[in-house]
Amino acid sequence: MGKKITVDGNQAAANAAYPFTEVATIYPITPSSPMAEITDEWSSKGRKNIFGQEVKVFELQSEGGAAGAMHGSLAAGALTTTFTASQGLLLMIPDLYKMVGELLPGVLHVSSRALATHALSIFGDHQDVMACRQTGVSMLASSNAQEAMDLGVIAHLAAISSRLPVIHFFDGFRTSHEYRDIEEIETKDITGLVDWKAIDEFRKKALNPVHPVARGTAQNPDIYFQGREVQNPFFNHAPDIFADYMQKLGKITGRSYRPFDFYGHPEAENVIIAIGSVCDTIKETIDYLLKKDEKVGLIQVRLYRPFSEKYFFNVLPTSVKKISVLDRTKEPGAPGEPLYLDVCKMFLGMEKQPVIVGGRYGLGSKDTTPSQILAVYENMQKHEPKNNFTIGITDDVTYTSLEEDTSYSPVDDGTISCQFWGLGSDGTVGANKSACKIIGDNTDFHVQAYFSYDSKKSGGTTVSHLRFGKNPIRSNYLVYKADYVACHNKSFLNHYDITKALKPGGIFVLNCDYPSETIGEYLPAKIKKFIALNKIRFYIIDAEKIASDIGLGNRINMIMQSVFFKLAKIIPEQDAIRLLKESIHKSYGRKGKNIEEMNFKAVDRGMNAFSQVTVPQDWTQAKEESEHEENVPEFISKIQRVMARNEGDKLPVSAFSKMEDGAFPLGTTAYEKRGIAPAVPQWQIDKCIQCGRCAYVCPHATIRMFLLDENEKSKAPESYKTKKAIGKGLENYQFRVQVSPLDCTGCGNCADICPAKEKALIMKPASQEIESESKNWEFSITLSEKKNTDRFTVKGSQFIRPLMEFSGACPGCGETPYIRLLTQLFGERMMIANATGCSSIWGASAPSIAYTTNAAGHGPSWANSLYEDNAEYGFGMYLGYMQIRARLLMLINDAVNDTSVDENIKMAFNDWLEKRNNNLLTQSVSDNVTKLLTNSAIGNNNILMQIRSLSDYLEKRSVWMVGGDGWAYDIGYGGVDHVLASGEDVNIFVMNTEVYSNTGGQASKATPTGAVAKFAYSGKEVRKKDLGLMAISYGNVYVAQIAMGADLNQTIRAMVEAESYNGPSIIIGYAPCISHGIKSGMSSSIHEEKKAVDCGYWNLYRYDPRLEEKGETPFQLDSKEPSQSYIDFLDGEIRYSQLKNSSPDRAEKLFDESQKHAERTYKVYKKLSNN
Amino acid sequence: MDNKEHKPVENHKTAAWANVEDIKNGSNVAKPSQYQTKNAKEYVDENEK
Repeated sequence: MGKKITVDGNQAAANAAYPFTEVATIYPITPSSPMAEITDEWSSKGRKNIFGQEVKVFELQSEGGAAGAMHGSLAAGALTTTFTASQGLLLMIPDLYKMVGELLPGVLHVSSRALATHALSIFGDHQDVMACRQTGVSMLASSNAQEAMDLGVIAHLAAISSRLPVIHFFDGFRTSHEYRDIEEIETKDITGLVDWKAIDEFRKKALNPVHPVARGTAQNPDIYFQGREVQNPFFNHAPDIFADYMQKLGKITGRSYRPFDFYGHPEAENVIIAIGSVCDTIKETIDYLLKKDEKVGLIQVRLYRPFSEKYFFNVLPTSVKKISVLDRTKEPGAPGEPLYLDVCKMFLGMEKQPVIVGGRYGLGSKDTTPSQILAVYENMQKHEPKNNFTIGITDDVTYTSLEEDTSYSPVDDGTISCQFWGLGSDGTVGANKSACKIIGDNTDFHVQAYFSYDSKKSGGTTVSHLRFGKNPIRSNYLVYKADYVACHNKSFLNHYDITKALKPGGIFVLNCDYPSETIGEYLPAKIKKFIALNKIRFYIIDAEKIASDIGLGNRINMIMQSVFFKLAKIIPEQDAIRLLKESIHKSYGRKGKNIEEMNFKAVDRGMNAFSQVTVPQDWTQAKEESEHEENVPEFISKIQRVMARNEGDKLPVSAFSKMEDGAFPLGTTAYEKRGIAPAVPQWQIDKCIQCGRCAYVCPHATIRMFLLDENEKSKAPESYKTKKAIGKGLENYQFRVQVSPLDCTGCGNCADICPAKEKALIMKPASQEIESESKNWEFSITLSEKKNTDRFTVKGSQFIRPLMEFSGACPGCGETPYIRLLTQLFGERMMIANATGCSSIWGASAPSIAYTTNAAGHGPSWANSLYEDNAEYGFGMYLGYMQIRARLLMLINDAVNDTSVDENIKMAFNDWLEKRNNNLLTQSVSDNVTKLLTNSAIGNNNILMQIRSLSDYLEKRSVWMVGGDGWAYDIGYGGVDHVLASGEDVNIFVMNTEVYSNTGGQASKATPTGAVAKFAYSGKEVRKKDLGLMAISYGNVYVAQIAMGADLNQTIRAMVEAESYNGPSIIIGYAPCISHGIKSGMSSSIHEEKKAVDCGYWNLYRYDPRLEEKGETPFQLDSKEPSQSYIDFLDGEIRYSQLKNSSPDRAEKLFDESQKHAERTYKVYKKLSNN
Repeated sequence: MDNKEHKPVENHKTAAWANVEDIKNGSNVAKPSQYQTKNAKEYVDENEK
């Protein structure tokens, strides 16, 4: 028996891969990235593979690049591995054909994930791997973390012996991120299984100048076909090779597998055939049905390709009468899903054929529960079972869904199930992982932990689903019936049905500062009633006060973990205390004695500081106050509100009937009112100098400047204080700065940057500001937008309504102020193509769409295609719009020469022809044309009718391709470069966080030397790429590098110049990120930009080709000579300082190099500016 | 807007980024501890999308 460890599926698979891997070519993509990250970490720490070497890990610019490098490395004779998912795997398909065709034994470990179709989904299903089944690659499926390790090993062994590449896949998130106790396979256990002779042969066939061959020849019709067929024996033999290794490994581990495994009644009549994590759920359901003497079974597909009929029929009971094939994929228009068709084919022509039906389940990680599986077995009991069915959804459009039997109750085998509701980054998830490790590694309990996150990067709600049991856990679905529920954030009570999952008599723990005697006043009636009727044991604890008392600030996780160990009684209290403290020493020991001691205290206090609430009898009669009916759009009431309550699973298919193409309405974040902020800024009217900087830098568009005319002022609430507006053209207005306290995140950047002598913004407790300012905000947004100011100035821009507001970005995000400002400058005529990444998540995670419209209903059209193609996608938008506008131009020219057209209309047309591309006038001349094209004016004139039908294209559009550095510097660079080379009037905005922020902080080519990032575990060695300089080399591209906090004016100037330039433009904005670990906090993220520029870490410049035409120097260096310490700046961010802590010598060397690179870059810029 | 909507549904008081180790004079802007800054970083690095 191997050592028991508690890990997730990704780590299990990486552990399996490491011994057999010489080279790992990698690229980050969720949910596979952790496999590559841990491989990089192990390699950096000196772990050896079976050849006695550290794995050579190399990050490429895309998955296409990783596959190409993998192909090349294999061709050179090195055993090579990659890790990927979803669209990333699709980018590897061309190389998969090559690796199969050249019989190269690479292995791809895939945490399988949905594909972007009508929407992006990072969650699990088999759409990606099923798109590879035609390539010839072998495909092996694991159902849980243990299998990910076992079959991961077999994938490598079989690849070597079969000479075929293997995709080893398991379900994204459900397996890749689920913690389980598993038995580790150590390298020494499996070295004896390695086919060294095959490795030797593989090396001999590698490309080698000593015995050279040519591969990849071009072949004509005479021989290509034969070449494809000559490989048949390899595919024919592969299943035997896999089966043989499964048997051999089983002898070592005691866990045996076969290409197909059967589970269930030996005389099963109704059988499900399935792949992946659902198989464990099916087995659990079968156990339930076997107790009722039902003849049911499962065939679990492990080796999906090559598909072996021999091994299938070896395990299929002859008693089978009906088969349901479950596919976790969808092929619209196909006669059936892939596995279903494979199964049908096997029975073709047989005398005795079972009834075979197929269905879909679990797309995008839709939870698949035993009651859904029961529905599948019940369907088979029907005389004519439904085919092409779905489970887990209510399809009331094409009626595919099977009805669920909700009376199912799982067999009580003593498993303890728990739910923990936490706030993202409050430590709940980390504490639960730690609890699982403690219990899994130190007791004979089996553990399972799955973590649900919402779509917010920081904050948001996390729900940890934990199970502990003496029997192996096979419940591969969320916890719906819990023995223990903990709510770590009392504000959730206002929103979620927190106690819903509790079993009668279960334990509910609430972190709150409510007194036990009066807590009933604070709880929703629904929860009180549930607690009373179900005899819930209800405990409360003020963990925040305890954390504060012992010096942990607001870190409550260890206290809540301690409460859990005490109340759940999974292990004896004294053992729990000892193990918790050992775990603390392991986790926090390196962070300092002080932190360790504080966490020790948290354990001790948590064990005793809670109290049980005596539940009053009258709670059983609790009634909710009648709910005020909201006057909100139908989308908000019927979809957004439902999803926000965590009840989106209940929405039927028909809820999306008018949204079949995936289009969502704009402006929905305005209805969220999350009330995140602990403190929000309070406007000090007498101190304010009306500069607009606060609104200009606000990452969430929650502090704004408003102008009121007399009439508006007369309607204002009494509390709505204003002062006389200052500035040219504002003489007749009143002025006010207004905060939306329920939308503000409380990051504090506005107050931090306020230049008034005495701060005009002071952070105050949010509760007080919500009370006093919510109504004032509501009034503010009814005010009309005044046109008296110059929109293209720092102050003037802030009187324009932002058309990107209340995004889901982290508080203090460095990306959002740039995009918010762009929408204030050009929003009503913008088309935005957004690369996948943080900006697509904070901008448009359904149903929260941060982009919105102005009073006229105009606003940015926003869309995301993929990651790599964003520049091309945006360019396509430009081509499409320009082509239609060109037709409009043709028609208007015709109309001008048409004698039947009214002269007033002709004048408007001529005006339009003259000014249509003028950024300042295009709107007015276009509106004028539209206004004149009334029915009576048009009459029967065919040309005018056509012009009116195209009137949406009159106004010049502002086309922007936006994304992060991962896109522009790495995966999308080819497209960015090509679009810049086009000479066309398009704009690119790069939010440079110097790291792949969205996928978890992996290094990109924008990551500077010395920064620690994932895939740069020991600090990045090579210098960052200078994308701006590369773009400048074209000569006809407008290029700017900006940092808002360093120079507010330079930022807006660059945006206006870029947009007005009749050619391609690119702006690269420095964007501090929470992932940088800014030590002064995200409240100073804007100020951090200034620091970066002051020390020469980041430079500001604008390159305007128009200046060259005027005989001037086109490159304008807007940064002054560095005046501050470069090293001090690096020390101020954890991404740098952590290297100093772990490897001081290396840090000194890399930081020195980084500074030299910066100095050299500044010299180059200075030279370009002729200064 | 009714009273229910005035109640925060996701208060960040316990979020790592919102830790208050110190307050800036004048603005009351919070500065977190380095320990919590690191926790905030680690959370977003782990919360892959």
